[in-house]
Amino acid sequence: MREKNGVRLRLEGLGAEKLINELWKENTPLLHIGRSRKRGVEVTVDQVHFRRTEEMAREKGFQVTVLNGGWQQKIKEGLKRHWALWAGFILGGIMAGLSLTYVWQVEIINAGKYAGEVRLFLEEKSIRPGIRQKDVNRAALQEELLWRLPDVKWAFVKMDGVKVLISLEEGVAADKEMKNALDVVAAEDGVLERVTVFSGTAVCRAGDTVQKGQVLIRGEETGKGGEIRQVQAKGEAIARVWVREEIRMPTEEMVTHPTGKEAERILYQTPLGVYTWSEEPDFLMADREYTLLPLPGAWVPVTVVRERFLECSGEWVERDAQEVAGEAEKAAAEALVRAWPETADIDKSIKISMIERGIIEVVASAELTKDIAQYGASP
Amino acid sequence: MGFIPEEISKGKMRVVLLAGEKVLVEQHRGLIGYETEQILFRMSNGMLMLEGQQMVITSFGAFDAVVEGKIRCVRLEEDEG
Repeated sequence: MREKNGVRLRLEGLGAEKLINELWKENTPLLHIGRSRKRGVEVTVDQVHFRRTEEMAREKGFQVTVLNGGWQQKIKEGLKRHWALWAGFILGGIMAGLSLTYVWQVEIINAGKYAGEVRLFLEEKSIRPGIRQKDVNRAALQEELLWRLPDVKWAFVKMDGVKVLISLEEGVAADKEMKNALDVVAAEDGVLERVTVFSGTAVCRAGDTVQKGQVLIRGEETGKGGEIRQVQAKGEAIARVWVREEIRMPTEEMVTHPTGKEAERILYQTPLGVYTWSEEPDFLMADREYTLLPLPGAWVPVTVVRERFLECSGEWVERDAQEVAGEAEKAAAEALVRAWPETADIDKSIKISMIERGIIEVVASAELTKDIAQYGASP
Repeated sequence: MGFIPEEISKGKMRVVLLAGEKVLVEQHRGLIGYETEQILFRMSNGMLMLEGQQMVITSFGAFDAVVEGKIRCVRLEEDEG
């Protein structure tokens, strides 16, 4: 038991026997004295005599190493020996802890057509990687986003670890829909084909051309005695509506020719910005190639970017008009389907025109039949 | 009634060899030399030499010491005169 609680020491130096005798004269009980290497001995002393033994050994010029001390000694010895490593661990821990209080990523999801606007809004509010998490006022951001974006039902701003997540729910909030609004209005421009009234009074009929916001069913009903009472208008308004998307495409393209001159530089991309020690080469025009390599073991996400510049000369070349028109037609049709998915399976009308020298405009349009009834305030 | 053994009261040495694996040395006067093959103790009347292999001093107290290992030889060299 005594041995178990003792401290195992390695004493290295000349004349270990003399040191043992000195300790013995001071009544220091020594256990398990064994030879260690050529000039040393290993010895176990109890905790009470450990300090004195160590002190005396050092006085006599011995090098003392604790081999199996108590955990306190082990830590002490470990700290002494590997202080740089421990300092690194501690510093690393502090840095890791600190880094968790910052924002390292900003992600926008379900923003649809508002993605660009949300990005600008965040830029304006300085919500970017590198800011402190406590500086993100989620409630205020949510409120301001709702105020800024009219067709958004709800805006969520939440912290997911070190990430700020902005998510939008498109649509008109229910309370906005029903507020003082008993009428059914047209959601978009169109020609009515059929109006079905469930409650309220129809103010349009089939064949009428209606504009967005125009009242279709008034939220009023006349009683038997001629009295007018207000009701929530309800009904269907099936109408023909037309949708269109246009795109513009240049008929010229830039063709580049490499001159043979090349340059290269290294950039470090971090959440706080992009850093480099090299200047961009003095090329008038250059093609660039990037190779991205994530830096392993870094505390923050760092990507090493190798940027290669290939100097080139360029000239504008006229493209075949038929080819450009064909591409533009396809692009316009695709844009229309992207904006109005219900047009995917119906015929589209394509109109191509040269609006100015070097630019072709293509308009793709389609006719849809749909319910345009919308609950809302009359204009 | 208790008593004090003579070797204690008169400081006389006592060496006990156990199965060639352990040696108990009582009333030594310190260590003269220590190697795993040879250990020398100072005694009141001379020097005690232990020879063997892989010898370890498992206990080294104020009056006694215990040596463990393969003990081949225990020899006492008395001081001349």
